[in-house]
Amino acid sequence: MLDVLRKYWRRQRLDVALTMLGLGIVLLVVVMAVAAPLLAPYNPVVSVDDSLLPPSPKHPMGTDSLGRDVYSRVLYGARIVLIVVLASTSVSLLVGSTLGLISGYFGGAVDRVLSVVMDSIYAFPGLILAIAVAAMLGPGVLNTVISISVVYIPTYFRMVRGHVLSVKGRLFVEAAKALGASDWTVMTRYVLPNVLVTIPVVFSMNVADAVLTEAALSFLGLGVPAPTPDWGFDLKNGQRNLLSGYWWPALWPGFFITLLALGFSLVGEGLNELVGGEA
Amino acid sequence: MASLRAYILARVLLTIPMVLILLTIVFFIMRVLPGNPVLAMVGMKASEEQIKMLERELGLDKPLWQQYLDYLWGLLHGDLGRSMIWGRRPVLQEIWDHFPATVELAVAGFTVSVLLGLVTGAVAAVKRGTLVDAALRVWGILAYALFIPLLGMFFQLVFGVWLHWFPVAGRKNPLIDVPRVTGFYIIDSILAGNPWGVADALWHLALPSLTLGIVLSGIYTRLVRTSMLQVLGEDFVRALRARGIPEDRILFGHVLKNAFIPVLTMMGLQFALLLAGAVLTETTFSWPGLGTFLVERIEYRDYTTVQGTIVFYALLVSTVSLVVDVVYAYIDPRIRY
Amino acid sequence: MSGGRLLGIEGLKTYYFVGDEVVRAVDGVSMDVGRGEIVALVGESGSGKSTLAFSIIRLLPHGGRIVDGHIYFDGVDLASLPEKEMRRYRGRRISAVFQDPLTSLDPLMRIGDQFVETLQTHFPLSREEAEARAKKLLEMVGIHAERFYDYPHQLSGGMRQRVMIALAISTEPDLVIADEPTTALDVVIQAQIMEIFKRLRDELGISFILVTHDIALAMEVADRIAVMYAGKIAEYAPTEEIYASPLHPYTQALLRAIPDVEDTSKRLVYIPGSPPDLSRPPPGCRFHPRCGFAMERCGGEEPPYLEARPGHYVACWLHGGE
Repeated sequence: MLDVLRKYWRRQRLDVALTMLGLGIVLLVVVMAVAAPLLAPYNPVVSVDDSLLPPSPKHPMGTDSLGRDVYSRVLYGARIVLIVVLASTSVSLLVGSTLGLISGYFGGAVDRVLSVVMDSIYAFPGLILAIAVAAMLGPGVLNTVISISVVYIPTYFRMVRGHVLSVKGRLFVEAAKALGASDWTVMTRYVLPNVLVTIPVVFSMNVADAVLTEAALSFLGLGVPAPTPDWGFDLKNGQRNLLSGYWWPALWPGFFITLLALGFSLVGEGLNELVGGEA
Repeated sequence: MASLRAYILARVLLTIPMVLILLTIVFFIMRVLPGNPVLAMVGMKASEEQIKMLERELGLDKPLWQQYLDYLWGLLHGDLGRSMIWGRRPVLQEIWDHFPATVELAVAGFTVSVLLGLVTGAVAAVKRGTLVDAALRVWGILAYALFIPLLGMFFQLVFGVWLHWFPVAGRKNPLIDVPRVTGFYIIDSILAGNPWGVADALWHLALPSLTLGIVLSGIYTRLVRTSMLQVLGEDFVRALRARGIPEDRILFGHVLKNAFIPVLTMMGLQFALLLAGAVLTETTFSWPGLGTFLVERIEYRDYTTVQGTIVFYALLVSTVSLVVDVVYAYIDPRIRY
Repeated sequence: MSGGRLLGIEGLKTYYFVGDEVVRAVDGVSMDVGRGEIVALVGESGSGKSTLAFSIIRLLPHGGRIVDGHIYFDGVDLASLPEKEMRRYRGRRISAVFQDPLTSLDPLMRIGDQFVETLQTHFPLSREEAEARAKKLLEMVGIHAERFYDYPHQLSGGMRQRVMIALAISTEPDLVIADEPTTALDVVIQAQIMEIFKRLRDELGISFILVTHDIALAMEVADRIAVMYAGKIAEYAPTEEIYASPLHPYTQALLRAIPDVEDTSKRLVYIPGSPPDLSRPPPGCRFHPRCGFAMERCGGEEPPYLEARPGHYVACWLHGGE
């Protein structure tokens, strides 16, 4: 037994390390978000000092063009990102999975129509779709959540529908139904376990993508509105100053966007290798 | 070749419902979602009459289903609507003005991403199991996680501000004047026999295309690696070796071609990502393409133009997807026979 | 045997190194193959027959290596030849046909072009000359010359295997190694393929090493049969002798296990137990745990590989050895 574990460990060492690294990053950001009030030395929304001060012990990440402490803004920014991103991917998960389940299980015209609709959305550039929806809905946290969740619904739809279809075709389902099992039983007992295994991987990758989409929306002025600290928004605001050489108001928030996306990606990729087998 | 024609026909027929659905979705988003565009445009101070007039002009007073039919009918005639702001220019015209810039950026970025992805993926496959392989795999993940504006700004800072090697924004030097023929500065400069124009255009294209290319390459690294590993393990590779065919001929004459096919399918799917990435790249580098145009018009509340632009994107994606599938069928004979 | 010795294998050992494990796929094998003869390597999966065959042309999968022994081919020891030299033999003097014709050809290249490529690699031929030769080769295996312009997926499995054979003999080799060439095909095609082998042996003097798990097939086509078990040769003799007087208990069991098409009342015979793990082979004779005739000696010492009768080799304590 130990022998098997040891062999498994050695082969998967890189993947385990990467997953751990990813989890560590995510945890770091979660801590930043949750403990922001405790960790932030200043109020992120008000001017606390001269503008564009370089990083120093007083301001570890410097101050921005309005004299706000960048470090505090980055900490509070983590909150918004995590809330929006986790909320939207959860909505996508719920809506997409439910639709996928219904579509796959009941088939027929409903399935055909839903599939074509979902395929069309899936084929369309996600960010541009989010931009369109956000443009029409206007700024705001809830609207941003909606905009982003629309983009990822097809992902879950396809995944769950695929699972349902593959299970539906199997003989033991025919057998179970012949024995009188209800549709509900079939779906929960057979489809759900399969789906549950794939979800963590898809979800992680999804969240990573959603982080980038949320940042993109804010960067373009379509996301969370002004005084709320948001990484994407700060990145945009900092560009002017960056081009004059003041890099810290922009690059720090920007760095964390990538860091968080990287964290979730690593978790997703790592889990994928561990669960699905090696390359 | 007859079956290729049949395949094309079938594929085109398949595209029509998808395009229709996309157009409907766009209509739905633009008309049915909450928010009154007219009010947003004229502000709260407008009188009832002004609002009514604008509504009539935009066709918003008609019943929804009629608006929908008018919309489709217009599209069939190539009418994407008219801008709601100054001059009421046809949207299509404005899109055409900005489209070449996006194409230039997209082509350049795509080229960079594929080359980078091919090289890194192939090296990772050939050096499978080593540290190089592991590092390249991590690189693939990291590249995609790079937020485009972040990478772009980083390049602007280092290569533009600190080193002065490249310009940080824009598409060309306003002092260099080249008669506009195609809208592609590089081509126009060549046509006008102006080498400075070509150099200038390329010089401005460098950082944006590098940014876009690097971020998109991540996917290709992983894909190329997997694809090559799979092909290298296939029976026919072993059979080729058994016939004494030299290793480099196997690699370049057989493996790469076979490995490229799944990559090609991916490329078709990646077109959407390319467009999305282009939007962010354009806004970061003030590149006057379709992306910047779209964002700008959103800011101006020019909803008809926004709608027209989104429709254009939908049509573009569908067309490219169709073309890619046809090319794919041409290359892989198994599909069409 | 019609023309003298072509291939002489002496004490060959080929092992696979996977992680910490060492799998002794071929653990001390000696045999020879003459010119213009068909030799069959028969055994269960895991017996080492494919590994033995591929050791000859040095096309072992990842982790496999020849650790000891010699493979004399026309006077040269292939086992210790540097790779660069080996390439002059591979494809030209010794070629191979693989098991699955569906995946053995590049799907993106027309059949004819794959011939031209092989021919032009080994011979200085112009495109037209290579094409002409390729078409003749196709005819030789019973395929219409127009098929030259087809893609692999347009051919049936049987036809594809014939193409593989044509490719294998296109360079006029002395020896062709065929690894389970008909396992993926139906019986009728199987018979056709075997006819082709026999014809090529008779008309062109090509020798074949046929690797198969089907002893009945081997007996239909081979001149001599080598029965392999757990990395060693159990018995090696002309086909008539294997049929009429098999000496090794394993060979006897294999023959008994051949289903009788005519007498369907007879129960299917099988050999109880399963082949040993080649990273930890049993002591003594490797077959002894499953052998009905096992004696005490069999569990302790490995029997030597001897010529029990003229031209008839066997490794069994029942048949000599002190």
